[in-house]
Amino acid sequence: MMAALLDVRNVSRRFGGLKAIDDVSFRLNEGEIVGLIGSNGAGKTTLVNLVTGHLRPSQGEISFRGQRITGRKPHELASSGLMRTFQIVQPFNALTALDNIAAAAMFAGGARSLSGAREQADAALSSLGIDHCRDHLPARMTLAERKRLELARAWVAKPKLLFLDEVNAGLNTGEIEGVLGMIRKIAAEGVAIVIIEHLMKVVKGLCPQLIVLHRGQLLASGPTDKVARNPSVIAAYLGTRGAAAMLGEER
Amino acid sequence: MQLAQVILNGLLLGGLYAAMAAGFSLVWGVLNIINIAQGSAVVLGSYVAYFAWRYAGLNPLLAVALAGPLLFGAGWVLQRFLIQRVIAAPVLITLVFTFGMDLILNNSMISLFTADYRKIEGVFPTVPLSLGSLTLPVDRLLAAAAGIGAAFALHVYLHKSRLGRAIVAVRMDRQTAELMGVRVEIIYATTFGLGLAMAGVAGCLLAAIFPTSPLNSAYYLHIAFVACVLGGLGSVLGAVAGGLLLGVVESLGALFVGAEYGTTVAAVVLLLMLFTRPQGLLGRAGYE
Amino acid sequence: MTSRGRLAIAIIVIGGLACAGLPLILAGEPYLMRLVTMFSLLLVLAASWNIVGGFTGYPSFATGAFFGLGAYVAAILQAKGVDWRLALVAAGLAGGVLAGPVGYGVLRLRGHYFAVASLMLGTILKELTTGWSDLTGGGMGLTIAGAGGDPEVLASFALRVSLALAVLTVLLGAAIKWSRLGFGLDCIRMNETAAAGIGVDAQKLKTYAFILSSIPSAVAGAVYAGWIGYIDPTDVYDVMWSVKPIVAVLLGGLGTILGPVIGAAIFVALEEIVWRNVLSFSAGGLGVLIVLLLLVLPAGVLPSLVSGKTRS
Repeated sequence: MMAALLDVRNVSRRFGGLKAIDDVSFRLNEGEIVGLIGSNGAGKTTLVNLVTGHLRPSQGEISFRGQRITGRKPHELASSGLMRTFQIVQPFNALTALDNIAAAAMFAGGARSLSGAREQADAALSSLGIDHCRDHLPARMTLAERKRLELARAWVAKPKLLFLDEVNAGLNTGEIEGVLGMIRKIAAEGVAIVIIEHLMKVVKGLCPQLIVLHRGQLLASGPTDKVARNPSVIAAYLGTRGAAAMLGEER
Repeated sequence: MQLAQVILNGLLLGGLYAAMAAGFSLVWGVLNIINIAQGSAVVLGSYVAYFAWRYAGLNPLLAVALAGPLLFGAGWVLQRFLIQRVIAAPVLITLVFTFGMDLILNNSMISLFTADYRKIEGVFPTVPLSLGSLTLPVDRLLAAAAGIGAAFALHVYLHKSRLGRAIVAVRMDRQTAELMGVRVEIIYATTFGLGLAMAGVAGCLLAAIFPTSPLNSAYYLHIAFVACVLGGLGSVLGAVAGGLLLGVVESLGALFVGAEYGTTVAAVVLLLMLFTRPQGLLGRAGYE
Repeated sequence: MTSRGRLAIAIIVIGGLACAGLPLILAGEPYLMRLVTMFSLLLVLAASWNIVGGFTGYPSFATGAFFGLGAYVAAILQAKGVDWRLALVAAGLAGGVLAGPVGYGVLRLRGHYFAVASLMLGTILKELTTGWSDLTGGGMGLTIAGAGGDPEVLASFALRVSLALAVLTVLLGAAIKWSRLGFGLDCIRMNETAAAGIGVDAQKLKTYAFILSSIPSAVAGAVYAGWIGYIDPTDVYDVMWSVKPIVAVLLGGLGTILGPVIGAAIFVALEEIVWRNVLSFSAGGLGVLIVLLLLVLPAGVLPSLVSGKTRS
């Protein structure tokens, strides 16, 4: 059997007395797109922090591309092809969009020189439709543009696995469509994507697979259709209306 | 000297340290600034006590009633009209700023009072009390008790009075406190005033026992730092715990390593604490 | 030619001219020579501090610790007959060697905690130096062997060495700022979490910066020791050696290449003109400068003159 791209085994994380993540396991193969859903406080961002190295698991093991990565630091993982975006965008406020992306090309992407990194950054700006922001500082960009910048920064390092943390928060319908298009493009290149999302419309349109977290525990995982019909998922999070919307059945 | 006596001496010293650290910790915890001028503020309090004794025969322990309000007022005005302008600046700026304030205060005192050591004499009985085989110098005992008492008073004030609770609220979550109608600039000014008032009180207590000179201010600042980090930021009880612990550590350090290494022992303990448990014994992690 | 190239050439040319010319121009003017030597030493400390405090954004108060360390290493070695050149090198090495492990530990802290910890370094070194009196002369201090002789020659010599060190340190700053390391440090300064997320090994880069910053500071201490001829712990481990460089950089422009130069010049000029006239309050005057500076011109002189340029 082919080794999974990402293998999370029995991962838990405690904060004092609180178990924020409780014995979660799942696997991800190359090129898969998975939606990570659950109510607020379910532990979605904590799980992403655990996998991307910002937090250390209290228990459990994580492997990426066949290598054990439990407890490795974010910068090492970034260089090995595991990237993430943040829920609240975190651009480098004194760098232009170009240099924001060039920084990622240089450190995670391994570009040899600044000019080489900037070339890659130019390509990323094009791909993500923000060429016009090339020499702008983030303060001058709209939220949607900054979200795309964040995406570009993660993508330019040619990741194998990309975690997107509520990339659509704060965007209007048109802007969301645009971002979805970008994500599909990235996925088409073979990048596996885990997307934390609240908008069921997005999840339905984008994710063939789902992982549902509830109070730090894995409630369900698998193909979207099956998960959306799962009674405990409906009870805990989706509701009957939400499930119907997810399955495309209107009442 | 037997171990118990050394520890007792350390505790007595620690009571004073608690008073020095309590206000410092409050200011650091609420305003997120380290008041480098703290040590000089303590010395100023000492001078208030000294001159009150010299010209009015006032007992330094009573001089706190003078130094406290005086320094509270000075601190309130200073924060409201000067420090407030840089309150939101990065750590580097606020640190250098309070360092500048300290230079002004310290050098003013040197200019006005000279660097000569001034000692208050004859206020307390020189014969120490006895507790079994242990000796308890009267002045130190009273000062330590007063120091811890003052710190506790501050703690009670913070948790019982309306203004005090507003201060605690601002420390926990400034934005929410603002939304709840708390006027943060007033809170900041009051907190800083309280911090300086505590320094003044500590200064009076110190003047009862030790000679006063502006040259001491760096040492007092050092004590405030270490006690705070040991005990935990923003927590007055933490400052008390930290102060007591520091007193004992210093005394033991003097016994085992030699008195001249007292500051080094404290500094090493501080560093160890920062590396292993930066939130201190009683504090909460996160306030950088 | 790029603007960076132009700046580099300007620094080398002007610096070189200063090194060659100033000692000749100022010969026979002991007061001015002393002033320029102090300026150069302050510039070395400011430019090296700028690497950690300006480029990386970590408020270090450890400059004085390395300055004092360098002074004592050089003084002790020269007392044992080591040639002054080797003593300078040894001082720099000592600084770098200490900065490695210490930096690695201390740089895990942030903000106030980091500042306090870095300040403690100097305190600890000062006490250890005072205590180890067999080696260091303790509180009585140490006289530098072979520091006697013609004061004119010594003054000229100290001037030349400090000028050269200053130029080299400014160039070091530029080299770092324009390098991959500098790019990484800038990202760390702006947002350390995001920097880690894009592959920057923050701990490693910060430690490199700390080490690189410590070496010129230590050499400056060694030069100071040779120049003054006598050192003691209270002098060379004085917290002012940590604070004055910071004020100089804040004056001139935090995180810029020429900021330390401008700031150190303004600082020394102010110190001489204003405060020597108000002797007993001179340190208080520095306090007033600091308060005024931070209230009025928090960005420093250089950035206030040149409106926001992005990375060129």
